[in-house]
Amino acid sequence: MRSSEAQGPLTRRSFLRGMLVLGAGASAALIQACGPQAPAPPAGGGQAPAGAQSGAAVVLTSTPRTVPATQAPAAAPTAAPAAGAAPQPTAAARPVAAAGNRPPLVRQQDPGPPKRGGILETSLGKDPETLEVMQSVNGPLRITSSLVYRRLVQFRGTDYYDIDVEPDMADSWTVAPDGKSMTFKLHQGIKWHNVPPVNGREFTSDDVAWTVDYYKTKSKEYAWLWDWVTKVETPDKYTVVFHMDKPNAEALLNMAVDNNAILPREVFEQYGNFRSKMIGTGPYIWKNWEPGVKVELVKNPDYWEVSELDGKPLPYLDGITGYIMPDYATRLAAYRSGKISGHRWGFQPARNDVEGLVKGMQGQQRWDGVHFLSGGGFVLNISKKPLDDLRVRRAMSLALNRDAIIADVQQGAAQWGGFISASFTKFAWPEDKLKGLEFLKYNPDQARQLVKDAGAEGATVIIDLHPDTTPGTKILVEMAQQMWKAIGLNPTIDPTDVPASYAKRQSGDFMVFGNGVGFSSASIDAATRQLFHSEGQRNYTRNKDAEFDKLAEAQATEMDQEKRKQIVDQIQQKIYDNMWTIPHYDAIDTLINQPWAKNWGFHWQLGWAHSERIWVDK
Amino acid sequence: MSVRTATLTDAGTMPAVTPRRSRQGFLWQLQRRPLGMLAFIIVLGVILVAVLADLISPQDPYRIFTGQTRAAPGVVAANGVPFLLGADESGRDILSRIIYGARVSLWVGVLSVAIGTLGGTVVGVVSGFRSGKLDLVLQRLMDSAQAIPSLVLALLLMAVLGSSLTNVILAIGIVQIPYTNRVVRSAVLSLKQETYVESARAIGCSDFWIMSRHILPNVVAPIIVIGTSGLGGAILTEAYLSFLGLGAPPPIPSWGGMVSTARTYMLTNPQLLLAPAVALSITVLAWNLAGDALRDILDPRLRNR
Amino acid sequence: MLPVLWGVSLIVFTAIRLVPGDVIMAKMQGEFSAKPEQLERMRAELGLDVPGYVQYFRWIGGVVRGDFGVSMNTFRPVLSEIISRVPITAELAIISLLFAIVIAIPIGVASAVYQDTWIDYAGRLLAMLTLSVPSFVIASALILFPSIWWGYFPPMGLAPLTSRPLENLQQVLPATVALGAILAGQVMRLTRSSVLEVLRSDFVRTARAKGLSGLAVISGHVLRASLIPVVTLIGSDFGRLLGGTVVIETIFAFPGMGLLTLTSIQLRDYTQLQGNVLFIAAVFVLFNLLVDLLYGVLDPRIRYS
Repeated sequence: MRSSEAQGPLTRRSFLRGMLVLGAGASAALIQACGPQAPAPPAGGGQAPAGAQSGAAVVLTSTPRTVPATQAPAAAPTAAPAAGAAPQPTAAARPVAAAGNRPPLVRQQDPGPPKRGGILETSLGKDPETLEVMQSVNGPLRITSSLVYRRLVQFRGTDYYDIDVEPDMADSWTVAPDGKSMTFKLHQGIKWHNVPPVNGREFTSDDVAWTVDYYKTKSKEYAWLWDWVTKVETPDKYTVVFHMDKPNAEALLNMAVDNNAILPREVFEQYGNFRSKMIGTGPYIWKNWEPGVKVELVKNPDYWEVSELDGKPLPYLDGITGYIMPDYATRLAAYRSGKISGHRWGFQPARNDVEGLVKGMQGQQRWDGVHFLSGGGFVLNISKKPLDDLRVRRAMSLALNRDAIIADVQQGAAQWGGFISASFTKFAWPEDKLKGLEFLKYNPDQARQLVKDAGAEGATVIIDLHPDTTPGTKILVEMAQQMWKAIGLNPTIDPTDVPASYAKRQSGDFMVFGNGVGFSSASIDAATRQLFHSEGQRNYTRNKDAEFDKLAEAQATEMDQEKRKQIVDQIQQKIYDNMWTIPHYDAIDTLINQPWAKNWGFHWQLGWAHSERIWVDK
Repeated sequence: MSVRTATLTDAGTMPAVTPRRSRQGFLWQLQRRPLGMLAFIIVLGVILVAVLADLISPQDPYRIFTGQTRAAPGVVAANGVPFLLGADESGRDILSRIIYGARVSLWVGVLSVAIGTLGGTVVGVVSGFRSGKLDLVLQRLMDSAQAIPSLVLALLLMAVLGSSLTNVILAIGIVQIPYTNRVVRSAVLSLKQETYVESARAIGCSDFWIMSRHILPNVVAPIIVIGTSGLGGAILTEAYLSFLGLGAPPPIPSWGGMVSTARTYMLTNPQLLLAPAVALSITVLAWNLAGDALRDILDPRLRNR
Repeated sequence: MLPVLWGVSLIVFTAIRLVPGDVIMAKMQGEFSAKPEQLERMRAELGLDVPGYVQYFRWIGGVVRGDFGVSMNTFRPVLSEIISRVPITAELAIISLLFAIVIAIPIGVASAVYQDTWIDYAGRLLAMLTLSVPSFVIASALILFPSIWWGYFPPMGLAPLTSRPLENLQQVLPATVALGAILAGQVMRLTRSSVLEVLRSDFVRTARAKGLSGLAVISGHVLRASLIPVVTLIGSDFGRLLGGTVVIETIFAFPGMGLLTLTSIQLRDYTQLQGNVLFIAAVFVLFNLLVDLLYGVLDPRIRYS
């Protein structure tokens, strides 16, 4: 071994030694001085987005299909049954009758006469991942399927929130007086897409019967759409009768849901599944899916509906192409350069971005005041300390400065939210009522006191956060964390990804969910019973309240609208009293379209409203 | 793998394992390399900022100023202190987060490189010296780990470990182990042939003694070079992990995380992206240049240029 | 080679199963209106109801016979998915590499030849700069700023190279510039040091002494020497290259191997991820063998170990 010969303090060897010491010393200093600072206690608590709005009123008899009045200036939408049309184009702003706390939807362009031909280009927030819509909850997939398939009934969609139901492939229906059977008369002359192996044969009641059976026995995720049906009869080619054990308040709602597609048996018989082809009876035929790149649909030349504007068969468009663009910034850039006409799932540009886009571009169409289907709110796991203490939960709610959150996260484009989203316009409590609730007010002093009383000072609260399509969720959770830290808790944020997050919900290995809970259906039943009933499939909060259970079961079978609303009000009161979830805000979003996309409405229940009536005018 | 690949660091050369002494001191060497000198100064500056963060930072980096999200630079915060670089998307002072971000970046960088270097050294020395079955098994493990793209490996590790600052350090560190191991092991292999090692063995010195007294000191030089150059890569890797959602958890102020989040606001508020991107780039740049200069200085062949 | 691949298979198999959540969770995204029995049926269909080691042997048994199984997410064969995506990533990598080489080698050679002059400093600074900025920052800037300034957005998707090459190249341009910039930095540094070494070597001095003109000396030996680091880069940094494409493919939504690997982790698509990583590792190992062979061709001084 060579002996070292120091030649002053700056020889290489001594430098090396010094460098090591410096490195060690620096590390030591850093370790001591800064170590990973524990961030402020994570704000916990998600509100259960309860969708108070259950499906449309149960209609005991069908409403006749009305012709979409695309040119008529719209009156208050609830008054004018402009059937089936995309939100009516009007020249003037059309205030929605203030039902509860529903903000007005403003449409700013009159589409003019329809033009035929052209392709509508849109973006999809992610890859559909499969073609089997009945086995997946993927948003872009459901949107695609709403274009390719049709259902027995559809949402009227006179405006964004209108979930009254009107005929689709069924011309009319009646419900038996005892509520235990429903008879549907199907439209005649509907043909399946002319694609092998179905080859354009006629749609009949047998298809409905087969579909119901398929959903009940083979769809794992969506069996609940038809579970309530005990027997299906097909007395003739165009009549279907559903029998059930007890009345179902949401029967029609279930049938209208976008992915409750009527399926062709030939595809299943040939392939054993629905993964390879999408064949339906809708206005667009599925042509191609390049995974990760795009989905292409083309016009169905044999579509059965006829345009009331020019007398020729619908649809107007030659096709629709959806480009898969998972990156928010890329979508913005694509929209800005006119590459895409609009975005219909997971796009919600942040308020600043919307204003920036609209300011910099010509003729943008915008809809303000839109509430999306998912609710807001932090879901809590009340089986974990300190969340098992009602005082702590109330304190966490009192600690949230909701006005500040709305200002910072949504730039003011939001209102106070209940756990039932304001989008359930028939059931959600108005904002004033929410502001009056004792434990939703902003009172950090009271909150601190409650935390002390409960002995929960310094208690760890972990907030799970997974990457969302909206950038605001992260800001929301960071703010909540700071606010909960200020009242004496010790919250930390735990980033996960989607499957880990849902695995934790199932296993109960979480405390607070930053992202809230999503909804696939405008169903009040899903928002209340599924989420909070002690046996509910999505009882993430893990509460067991027998009284609540009774209420939840009651609303599921109550066919009378008024009575049902009263039960749901009681349910809401109970949830706010117990603070099983902590509500924060309901975003009021703005959706924008390029000027050439005409009559392109959208609907709260995910699908596009009356997609066969869209046209482009470039 | 052949020894040849192992001897090439990313600068293409590796200093001879037994450097000769020279009369010229380190500072003199540095002076002759102005780029390296500048780099060292910057590096020292960053370290200083990191160490003195609480003294020089205008605000608490975690403090959210409600109502002042994305405030422009110069706007005054609610507590009277101006946002010198503006406020970020949650209403926190960007400058403070950059300053504390230096701590986080250096913390992540130094510790992960330490883990990578130490781990790689231990494995390399033991495995190279011992040979035989242990060597075989360990090297197969290292080869397997290295056959997986490092970002993918880091992603997997993060997914398994969960998202926390400690785990980010662990993941980045572990991923660096195979590379260090390779370099160290090849050095050890060539050292083993030296006569003094053989004589030490002949007179009965224990393996541990030989490893620690004879092998290790002569391996120190390349280790230092790898270590210093690895830091820049470690800081960058944290940025990549943040981009993919697996970096340091919010609200920890890490430059990589700040850059990643700011991408969303690139069109409307570019200053959110600019500040951390510049801080990140300059630090990594300076560190790389400093490492280069260090390598040049330690290389006896370039000694007298 | 086989033990390495076997090690890789074990690593990735266990790692992904340690991550919480499975593909059912990823698909369902919490819209759990499905009942537990229904979920169990889904799991059984995917083969997830048997113990881990059974799953491993089933899978590895298939792999040995060339059957990589089907994706748990799309139910399409894993291998065909890989084969359809590899060309895209390969195209990205190759074009980026070409771009990097074309830019970096001349700069690297100039930097070495004019060592320690301003040319050298500028070159090294440039190289360092590209190495210090995360690729996603460069890539984002390349998309976003043209869209603001000129309303230009690259045509979306990816046209097949074989049928519509011009469109394809246009779409790929910003991505390859971003990736290429990063590679350029590395190539430049490697070229510089490799050329430096050659310039100092005996035979070059001899050639000079014999009176050969500078240019002849340079072109003959130096250029060949400068290719060595490029080959090294491909060989040893291949893994990093592939990791780099993950980020680029995410931003630009190119359906390549990188993005597939990332989404398989996010979706817990075990079979797809295992197949991907195994495939990449196999390619990596093969590439290294190729690199070793190439060395023999490029530099006859280097002998096989």
